Amino acid sequence: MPLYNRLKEYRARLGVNQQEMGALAGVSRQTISQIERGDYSPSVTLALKIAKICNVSVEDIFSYVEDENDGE
Amino acid sequence: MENNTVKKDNRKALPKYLLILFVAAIFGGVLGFAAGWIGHDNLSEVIAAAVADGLTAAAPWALLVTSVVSLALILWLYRGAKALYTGWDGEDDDVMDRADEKLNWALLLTAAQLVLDMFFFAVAQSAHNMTALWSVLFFIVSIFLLVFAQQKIVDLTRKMNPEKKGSVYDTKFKKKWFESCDEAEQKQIGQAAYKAFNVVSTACPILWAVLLLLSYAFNFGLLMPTFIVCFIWLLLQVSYCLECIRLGRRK
Repeated sequence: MPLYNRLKEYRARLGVNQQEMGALAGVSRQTISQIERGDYSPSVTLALKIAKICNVSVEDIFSYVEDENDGE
Repeated sequence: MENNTVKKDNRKALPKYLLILFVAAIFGGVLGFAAGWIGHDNLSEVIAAAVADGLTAAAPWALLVTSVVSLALILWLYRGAKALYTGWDGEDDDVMDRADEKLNWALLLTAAQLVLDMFFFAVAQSAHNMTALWSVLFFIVSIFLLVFAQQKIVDLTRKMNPEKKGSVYDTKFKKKWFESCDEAEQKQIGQAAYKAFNVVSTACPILWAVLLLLSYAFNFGLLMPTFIVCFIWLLLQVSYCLECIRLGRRK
């Protein structure tokens, strides 16, 4: 999946665990865990919500890197 | 998509599809002939009677044994999950993942045992003797304990995930639970449901073919078994397609 994120790093800066981060974003602890592992790409709404909680822009947390095989 | 691409894809896949059909037809023909040949012998009736008698006699005790084993495993998994949750320091998220997985396995066991209970109970009732009465007692106790176990599992899951809503005893539990799931969980449920749809869609024609072959071999009435398999198959296909149409219309 070409969506990379630094959520774990920003969550650590806030000083909250996954459960607390989930509560702030209105999602479950498991979803925060899956986003951090790169197993789930959040919706635009959730990505914006997470960025707002961390007080940064979406691009600071999430970055899209195109695969070399894409478009072939 | 270009028309040529569609035709090209069809041309590429068709030979393999026809080959599978041909091999399946030959295989089915051979099996059907073999089943019919076995059916002409009295041996098949002896085997069928022995299986039916054995299953009927064993059903009440199978109900008891499988229930005890399942409930013991459920209790072990539940206690393991509870110990992980109560000992959680609020930091190590892997601990909560492990507790969640244990609860998921426990929930799977309760669902599987409920189905087994229904099967063994129905088989035991065809005996019309004292063991059939025992099976009523085993069945009631097992169902009661399984529902209680489901309640405890759901309650612990809710403690671990405070955003979750619904009580096991609520008639709208599934709806409330689904609505309290977030986008990632709802996507997971959708993927799991689609996988289940594919599994059952594959299992139904296989079951139909197996029943047909077994009916040749053991000379049993095919009407009710095929009606049930085809009814479940039709129900699955129609409910899936109707829901797809409804979701496609949604603005």
